[in-house]
Amino acid sequence: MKTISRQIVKKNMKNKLLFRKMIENRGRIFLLTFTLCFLITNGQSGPDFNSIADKAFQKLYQNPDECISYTQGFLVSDQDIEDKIVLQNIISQAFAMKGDYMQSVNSFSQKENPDRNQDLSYFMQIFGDYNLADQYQNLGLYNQSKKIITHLLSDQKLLKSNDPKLRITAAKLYQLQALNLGINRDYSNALKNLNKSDQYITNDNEDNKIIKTENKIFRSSYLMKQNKLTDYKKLIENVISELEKEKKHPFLLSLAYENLSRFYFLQQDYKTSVQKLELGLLLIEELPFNNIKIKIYESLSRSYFALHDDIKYHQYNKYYNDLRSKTDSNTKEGIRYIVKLVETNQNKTLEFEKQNYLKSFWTSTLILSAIVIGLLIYFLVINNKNKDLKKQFDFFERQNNQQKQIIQPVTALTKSIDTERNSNKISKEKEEEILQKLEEFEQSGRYLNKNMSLAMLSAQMEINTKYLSEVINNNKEKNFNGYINKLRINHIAQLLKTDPTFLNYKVSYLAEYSGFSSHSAFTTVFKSVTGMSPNAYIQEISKSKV
Amino acid sequence: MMKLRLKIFPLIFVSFIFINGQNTSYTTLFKKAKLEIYDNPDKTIQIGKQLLKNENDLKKTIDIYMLLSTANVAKRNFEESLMYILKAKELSQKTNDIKSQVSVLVSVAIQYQQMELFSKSLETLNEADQYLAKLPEKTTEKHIETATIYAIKGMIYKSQSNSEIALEKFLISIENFEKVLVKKTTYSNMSVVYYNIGYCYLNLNLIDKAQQAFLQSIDCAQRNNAKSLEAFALKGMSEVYKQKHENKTAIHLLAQAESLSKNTGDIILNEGIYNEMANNYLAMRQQDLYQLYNKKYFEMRFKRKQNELSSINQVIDNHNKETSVKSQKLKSQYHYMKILSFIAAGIFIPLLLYFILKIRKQNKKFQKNIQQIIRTS
Repeated sequence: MKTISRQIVKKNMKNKLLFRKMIENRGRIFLLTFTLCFLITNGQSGPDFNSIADKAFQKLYQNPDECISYTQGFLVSDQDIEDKIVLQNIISQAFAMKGDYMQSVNSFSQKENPDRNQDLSYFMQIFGDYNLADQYQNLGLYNQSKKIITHLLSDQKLLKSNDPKLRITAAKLYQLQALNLGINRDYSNALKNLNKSDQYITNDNEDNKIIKTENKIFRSSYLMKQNKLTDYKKLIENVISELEKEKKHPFLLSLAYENLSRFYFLQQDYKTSVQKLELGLLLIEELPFNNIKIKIYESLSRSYFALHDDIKYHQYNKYYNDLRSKTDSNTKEGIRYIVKLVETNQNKTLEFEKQNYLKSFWTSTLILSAIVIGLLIYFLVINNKNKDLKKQFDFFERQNNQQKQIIQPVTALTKSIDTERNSNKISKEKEEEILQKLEEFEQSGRYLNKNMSLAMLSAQMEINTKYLSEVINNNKEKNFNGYINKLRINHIAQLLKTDPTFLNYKVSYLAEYSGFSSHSAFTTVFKSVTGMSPNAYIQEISKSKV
Repeated sequence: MMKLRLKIFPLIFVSFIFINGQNTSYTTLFKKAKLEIYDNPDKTIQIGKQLLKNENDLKKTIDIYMLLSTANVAKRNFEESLMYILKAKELSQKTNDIKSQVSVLVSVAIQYQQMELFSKSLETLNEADQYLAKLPEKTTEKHIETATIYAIKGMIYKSQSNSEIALEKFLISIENFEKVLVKKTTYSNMSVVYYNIGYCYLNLNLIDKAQQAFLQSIDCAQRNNAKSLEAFALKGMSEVYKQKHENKTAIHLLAQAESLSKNTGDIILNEGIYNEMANNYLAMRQQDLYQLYNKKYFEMRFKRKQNELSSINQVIDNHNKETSVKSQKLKSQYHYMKILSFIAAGIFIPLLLYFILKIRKQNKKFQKNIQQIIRTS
């Protein structure tokens, strides 16, 4: 009995072991992926990449062409998606500064091909959306830009993050939103957004410093629009003197000069206005900052017009118109491109979402079906055990009854004879005679003879083999072999129960003793009769003896 | 600035071609589709495709194809637009009506011009020229189509800053328009062509000739009582005076143009007027008035740009909406699938647990009984 349960326990143990192995393997995979992720994120935010990106960003404000070739070099060698997105954004911004919006959208779109199987990190999602908002703004689709940013800035996770990358992205988002608001002439809210942008800025790197200076310039221009001229002048002069000292940000300085020129223009001091514009133009004349050049040309042509300098007016007006028509057609191309891009991207996102849902659906279904299958297996196991137990119970009950029968065998015999059917060709007398002889045979223990067979028994009993076989089949519910085997097993089981010395014998000896040719045959037959193996039986008996 | 002017002209011709509807339900739907063309091009395309399904008439099918093409230009989906243009062109070849063949080719050329595919446009116009040669001489249609073709050619050259060649084409166009026995729309078209001629002369610095051209433009516009065209011409004239540094006269003309354009609400026109106003006040050193009109000019410019982008905005919004609907659908679909699998599990698991517990109980009972039997015996 105990062995059975032990075996089951063992089986369970085995299962558990297998399971644990699986978990261990899984754990190992988890660990691997975890470390990999860690390495990636670590490598990403490592000092190397950060300084590269910072340098690239600085170059963006120094010379877009240089920035593009510098950044593209790293883009080819860098395999990390997060790095790639950041670098692509810088390249895309560089093209936008050149007024080449078509290329800007194009390089923005290239980053949209990361392996979708890899989960996009939170930063990548935010940064991707920021990129899109930036593109929309470049192309004059302010409402779309605004929508995206409003959505992003309502996310508390972003606003409360301590990750420097996310913080600078938040600063950039507030700046973009300020620009969107400024275009709609909502200057007070634009200023509020610039203030918020400043809150996210540290002085850690060039990226932060540049955004901070840009914020100051934008702020000053909104102050001018609000007619707060003293505040304006103080701020812009402060910015200009800082930039003049550093001398490494031609773009920002020329932007500031252009800004200041507007102030003098407003004051009708057209000469100073022109002077500031010329200063600004001088800084970037050789550089491909077409977006600011347009502004300067426009302002210059206007100022010269006010000064009645027809030659210079026509000259700059022509420059302005040429550049304008160039960027306008470029913008149109960019818009054409981005509409397509949005379409394909959204289809991709849908596909991605679908895969995600499918994945989660299958995992949950698999887990559930694993539970169901597990339970089903357990059910089958215990159902089998139930069958065995039933057999054992029947056997022991029969054995118990037999013991009682031995005390009064005759009555039982006569009873059994009475119930015999009489459908065979053998006469009743003959059959009774045979049964009588079989009864004797059962008592004799001759069945323990290894060579006992139907022929031998019939010879011993002097009865026709056919008759004997038929009587056994009809009355013992078994063929001859089953009959003999049952007798042998019953005998040995009885012996084991009554004679404690037998408990010490080996199973092979018991097999030999009870007339079986092999150990395994004995075990099988024993189990089929009693419902348990000989060992389990022995254990059960010895346990009850104690 | 040049592009804005370009747009007026095609619009007049396009409407000229399109207003030929007969069948009522078709006409109303077609008109509705046309109205939506810049505000909601997706809608136009939807209606257009729907109309296309039930349409057997060749001419109408061509019209629908042209409409679909224009709607796709509004969406800046040039590939689709080109596809429809080519279909329209193909179909027009099947008709034996040379007049309609020419008019389709002309509208195809206009479409190309809008897409800024200038060489394609010129190519198509030359093709139209060949068909035109087959028409009998001295008919009104021939004159009108010839004038139109040359006008478009002129605009293309002008947009490429090729004022001399543009002027040549425009003059041929005017010549042909003159031959048309008086017809109202012809005056409008002539006014537009004269207006363009004026700007060509301005670009070539031939101020007196420019003045002449603008005068003609004003005259033609007045004959057809086309107020906005007159305002355009006046604005052109004001530029002549601005060049002559006669800012006061220029401002006077612009004020006239402004009052004429009040009812039309043409953003492009207003933008031009305000810009010129601002410029002239700046030249006169009247900073306050300059600021006022400059602000108005910027407002108009911003409005126009946003208007131009409104169809794109609409397209993007539609995309976003569609995607979110699809994603919602996807979400609920998988949600239901998940729920279903949980329900199935919720049925099977308790059922199995019930049987397991039952059998375990039975097993325990058996074990107990067996042990009892062994012990008692």
